Amino acid sequence: MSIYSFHLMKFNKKVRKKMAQKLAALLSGTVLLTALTATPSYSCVGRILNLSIDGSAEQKAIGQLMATYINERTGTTVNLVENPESKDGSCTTDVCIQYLKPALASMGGEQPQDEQEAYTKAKEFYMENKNIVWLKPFAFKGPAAQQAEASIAVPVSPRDALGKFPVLDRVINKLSGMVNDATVQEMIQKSQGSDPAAAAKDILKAQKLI
Amino acid sequence: MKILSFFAATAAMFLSFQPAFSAETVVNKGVIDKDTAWSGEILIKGDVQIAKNVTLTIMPGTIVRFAKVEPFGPDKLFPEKEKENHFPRAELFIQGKLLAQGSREKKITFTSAEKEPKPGDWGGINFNSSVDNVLEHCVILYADTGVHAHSSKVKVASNEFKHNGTAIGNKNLKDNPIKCEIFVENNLITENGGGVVVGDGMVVSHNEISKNEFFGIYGKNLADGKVQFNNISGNGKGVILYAVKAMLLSDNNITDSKDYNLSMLEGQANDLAFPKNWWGTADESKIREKVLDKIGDSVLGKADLSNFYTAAVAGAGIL
Repeated sequence: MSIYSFHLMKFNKKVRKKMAQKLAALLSGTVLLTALTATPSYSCVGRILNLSIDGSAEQKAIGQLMATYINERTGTTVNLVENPESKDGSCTTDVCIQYLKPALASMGGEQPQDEQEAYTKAKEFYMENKNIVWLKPFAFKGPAAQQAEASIAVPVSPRDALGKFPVLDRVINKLSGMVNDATVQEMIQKSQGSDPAAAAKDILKAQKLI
Repeated sequence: MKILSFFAATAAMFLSFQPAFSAETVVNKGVIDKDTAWSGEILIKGDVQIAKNVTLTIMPGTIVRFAKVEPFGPDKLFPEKEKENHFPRAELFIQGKLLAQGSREKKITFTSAEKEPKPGDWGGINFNSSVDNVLEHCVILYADTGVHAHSSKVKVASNEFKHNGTAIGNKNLKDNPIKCEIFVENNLITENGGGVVVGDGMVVSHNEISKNEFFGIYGKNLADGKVQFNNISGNGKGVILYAVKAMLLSDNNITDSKDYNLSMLEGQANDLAFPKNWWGTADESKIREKVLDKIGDSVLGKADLSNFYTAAVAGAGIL
């Protein structure tokens, strides 16, 4: 069974917008509960992929690109959930976006200076200790406001979520090089005053990913 | 005597007008455990399950409205942990038999009870291990998935599906002895999120499948589905494929898709051949421009579209 998000169906966009506004008013910036949205699926009953973003413009942009690409290439409905995850590298939904340095810091111990070495260490740690799979890192190095502590953004996913969504890891890994500082900025600009899903689709099309 | 006759005539007239003024019948969450017929206007306020060996007959002209209940809330019979087999909102869950046979003049309508309805206001007509079902001359609107069949046998003919998340889907349940036999024919399937999800045991023929936001046909995890003599036009993508080992896709007009007329999704690694379709042009290079397969992404299978028709298939679409 598969499958959606605010980027999916234009005809349902107004509903989601209204719903989002109501929810925002109700929950005033706290966690958005996906169960309340009950978005209809594109295929079978039920299986909807929940992708957490932290509410920053950068994660909204990355999340939208990921949601659109996953949907286009797997048919899976993706629900973007504004659900700030702990910075400790874990993930309570199906897919999250983490940053390497804070995740390393929460592991404690000595931190490798080499980025690749640090990524490998974190990947092994989270797999062994939390059953979280660290996928290929993006080329994006954190929000501009945090450049002093810039560190690579990494899509992460609980191992059981990858079991539920076959090929998800392969699809997300295909975005690793494409999600970079330039693309994220382009996505943020194109989303202003227009449909973010359409913006994501345009960018993915221009890069011949869909 | 004259007075009695007057009252008798008045009473007869009043009774003859009853259907026009009949009140809406409210059906709350629950299990129907004896044969039942619905007519007039029905308001469903939660999950309604038709028990095994029980038949629900819906008469021509009946309007069935579903209240928009809280997802997996108190009006659901089925908890969220069973979401693989159930929708978040109210559904008609058929384990017995459903006979919903309208007529050209008196169609049966399944829709949302909302004043401003939206796709997904209600779950769907959800068959599970059920046989001998018929949906004919029905209009199905604003469901999550209009008709969904798990290991069931259903005839879905001459209906209209509009504004649903997905119009029709099916799947064989593991270890279930009943294998799907779903005949989808002569339906208008338009302006939904997705059109028809084709699994094993589904035959899709002579339908008009148009203007669906995401896909017209979604071949998924199957080895013996048939899609023939359909007009599949103006959808986001005409045909998408995932983990398909074999599928008969021929004698269709697959044209004017916004993105691709045929797109292999990630996970469609098998090569497939789909001869004898009209792809909107007789120019092979233009046909290929609207196809995503191994040529565009090396991990995908190859779609062999050779022996394509050079003109539209006459006789495709609704008969």
